[in-house]
Amino acid sequence: MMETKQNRPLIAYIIMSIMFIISIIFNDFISIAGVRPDILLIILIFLVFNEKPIIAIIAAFGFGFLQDVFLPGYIQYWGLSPLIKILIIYGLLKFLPFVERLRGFTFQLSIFGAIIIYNIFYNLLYYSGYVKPLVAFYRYSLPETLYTFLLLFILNMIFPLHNKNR
Amino acid sequence: MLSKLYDFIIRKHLEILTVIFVFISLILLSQTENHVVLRVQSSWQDVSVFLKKPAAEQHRKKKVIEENKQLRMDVFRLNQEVARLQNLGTENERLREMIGFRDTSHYELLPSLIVYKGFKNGSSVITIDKGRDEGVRKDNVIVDKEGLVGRILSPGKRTSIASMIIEPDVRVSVRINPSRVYGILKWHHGNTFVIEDIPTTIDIQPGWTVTTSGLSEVYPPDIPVGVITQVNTSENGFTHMIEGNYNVSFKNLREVFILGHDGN
Repeated sequence: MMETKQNRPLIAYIIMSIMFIISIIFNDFISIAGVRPDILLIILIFLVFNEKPIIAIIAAFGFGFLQDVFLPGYIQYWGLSPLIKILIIYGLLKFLPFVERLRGFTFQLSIFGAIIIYNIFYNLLYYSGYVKPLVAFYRYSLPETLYTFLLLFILNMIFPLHNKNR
Repeated sequence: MLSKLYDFIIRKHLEILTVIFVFISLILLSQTENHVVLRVQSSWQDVSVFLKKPAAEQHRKKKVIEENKQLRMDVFRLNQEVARLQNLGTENERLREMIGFRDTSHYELLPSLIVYKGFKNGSSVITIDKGRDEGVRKDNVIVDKEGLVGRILSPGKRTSIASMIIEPDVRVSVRINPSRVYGILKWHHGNTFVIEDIPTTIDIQPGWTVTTSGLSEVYPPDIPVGVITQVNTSENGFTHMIEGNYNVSFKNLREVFILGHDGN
């Protein structure tokens, strides 16, 4: 039984590795009406709750960098993804003691809040000069947040984010 | 001093790392459109295309199937539209001919639409959309551009019931042209009629036309009725058994004209 519990993060990491590959290679195929989930952000949030903060921060930079280099369409803003990802993960780490005390709906709401803040800032900067901030919000930030949160919610049901051994 | 710095680094390692990464990110942001990055990305695209290809093919196939389905539906809709337009074209042509016919006819013609053709196909009674309000009277003659159709049986206020000449009991006094022989025409079957009791001594040829004679109280003279197709001798050997086709295609009739009640 203990072994199974110990294996759970491993399985989660395997799944997230697959998701990582999917997000890097098959990003185009998981889009719904042009809206793509940020799978890298999901992995980062999982790392925040399950790994040491330093690993989460390094991963935030690394994933952000990978996103800018490998995901088409992000090249113009090389550095934008790591910047926003680091800031949001750092913020989440700072609020972690408070967030970990939350349960149920308020916990989910705080995660949703983190994702939407990330998407708002990211899209605001990414589409600055092209799309009006309000349009960027309801056309990109909100749908992307919902899609990402939905995936995270499903993952959270299988592998809970709360790490009791932390 | 060093130990203090070491302690500070240990205590604030997360913040220090975050600041370093933020700094690097800002430097990267200032290096947009860097040729090295562009090269890395194009190389990555070459690799990823190879990996994406099967999925992309599958995706394309799915898309093509969906597109094909949509196109089939569009073709069906367009075919429907073409059929509708062809129908409208035919109707337009027919109406134009009718207008031409009305303008050249020496009768006063009231155009009317058939609103009901009977419960069953082949019914000889029709309902038209003109009635007493438009001056329609009983026994007014109905024609279409091809010739005689029938007469009004019962005029209503806004609609009228009319009888067509393709009824077993209907007899029409006709004249065969150019011989100007008079006879009584009756419906045979389908769109055909017969004229009997014309002596064999009179020459009648297929292709000759049949018009109303004017001897009837109802039908005015010289309204085309049909064309003779067959001339046989009846069993008694003294009279012709003349068969012919009506000019009017009663089955496809949609619009008619009502002749003025005085026939002029």
